[in-house]
Amino acid sequence: MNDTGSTSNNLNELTAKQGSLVCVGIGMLLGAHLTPICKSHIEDADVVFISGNNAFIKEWLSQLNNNVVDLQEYYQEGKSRSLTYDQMSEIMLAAMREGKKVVGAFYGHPGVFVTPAHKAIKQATKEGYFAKMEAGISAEDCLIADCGIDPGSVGLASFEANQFIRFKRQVDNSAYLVLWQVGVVGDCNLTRFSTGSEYRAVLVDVLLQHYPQEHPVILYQAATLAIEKTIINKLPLKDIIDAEVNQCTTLIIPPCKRLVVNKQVMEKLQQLDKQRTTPSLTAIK
Amino acid sequence: MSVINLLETLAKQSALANLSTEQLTTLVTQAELTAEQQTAIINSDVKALEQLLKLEQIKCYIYKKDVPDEDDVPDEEEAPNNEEIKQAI
Ligand SMILES: C[S@@+](CC[C@H](N)C(=O)[O-])C[C@H]1O[C@@H](n2cnc3c(N)ncnc32)[C@H](O)[C@@H]1O
Repeated sequence: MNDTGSTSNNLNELTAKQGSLVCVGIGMLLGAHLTPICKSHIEDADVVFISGNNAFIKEWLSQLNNNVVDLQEYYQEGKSRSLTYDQMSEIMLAAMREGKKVVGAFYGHPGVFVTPAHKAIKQATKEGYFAKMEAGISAEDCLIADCGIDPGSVGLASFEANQFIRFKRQVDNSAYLVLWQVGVVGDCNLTRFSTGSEYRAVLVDVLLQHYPQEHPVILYQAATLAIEKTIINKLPLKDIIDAEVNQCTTLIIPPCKRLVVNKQVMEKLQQLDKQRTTPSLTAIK
Repeated sequence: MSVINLLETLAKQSALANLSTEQLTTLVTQAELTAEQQTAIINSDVKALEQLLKLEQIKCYIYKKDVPDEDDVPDEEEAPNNEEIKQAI
């Protein structure tokens, strides 16, 4: 055990104000992905603010804690999601400032593409409260397992789909590209719950600068209930314009180019290898 | 067993991971659910199940802004320029 680490943790506990905020992940599949530590935080909380990925989550988590508040009520089509995220983070902070043990339970991983969780934890820490995030199983974890992708094979980059088209990004088409929130791509006012094929056509235009139009891509949707099937829809890039896409769809674009060797670096490494003194056989014994 | 508990049980037990329709039907029949609930589960009809339980629909699954917050972005001065990157290599 690291003495310094545990001492500073104890100090934190002593100096932190009453009230705390822990954001936990409940994973993607109801019943299967909740880790023991996340479950324990939910059970111990004075209040649990939830954001589920299916209609059954609220009832399920209410079995673990009888004070569950659904954050869904802050959403409204036509209202800026930026404001919604501020309200979500503010309601969690307000309960914490009242001295309560607050838990924010978000589907998937609470830190993966979740503005209100990061914002609330940052603010709580700034105000001197105990605040922490506990990891959960994200959509990306599921897609890695379901689609047989190893991010270590050629690399994998994740982007929010609208950010990806609104800003100039350096695309590495020799790695996997994962685009999140494709169902609302093009919604720059953050006021819509879905955008249509004409908006996905703009996304395809941007992608065509880096990939051929027949390049095979995957529209992925993990099951969130045991009775659902995971969707892995393989299709040519150009066909995503008219494909079925919803708020839960994630777009996976496999690489279309081979890795190119960096000769300069390779030469440097070879020189370093040559400079190393080879251990003599007697020294090895 | 309630619908929620059945969904939880089905999700967390490896022995129940790949049930045939017949096996699922047997399990569901033992769970003391209404006939409609049983049919919805056996047919994987999530929408029907939501309605039977009078559950509130999820309106939105989106939690991320497309534009980063100010403090998420490094200062431009902090970023190495291309010349510095080349020299490092
Ligand atoms: C705000 S992010 C939340 C991600 C979540 N925190 C996680 O850890 O996976 C919403 C995006 O996650 C992805 N997503 C959510 N549910 C999904 C599912 N069932 N299958 C695949 N991707 C999903 C989609 O790209 C969706 O637009």
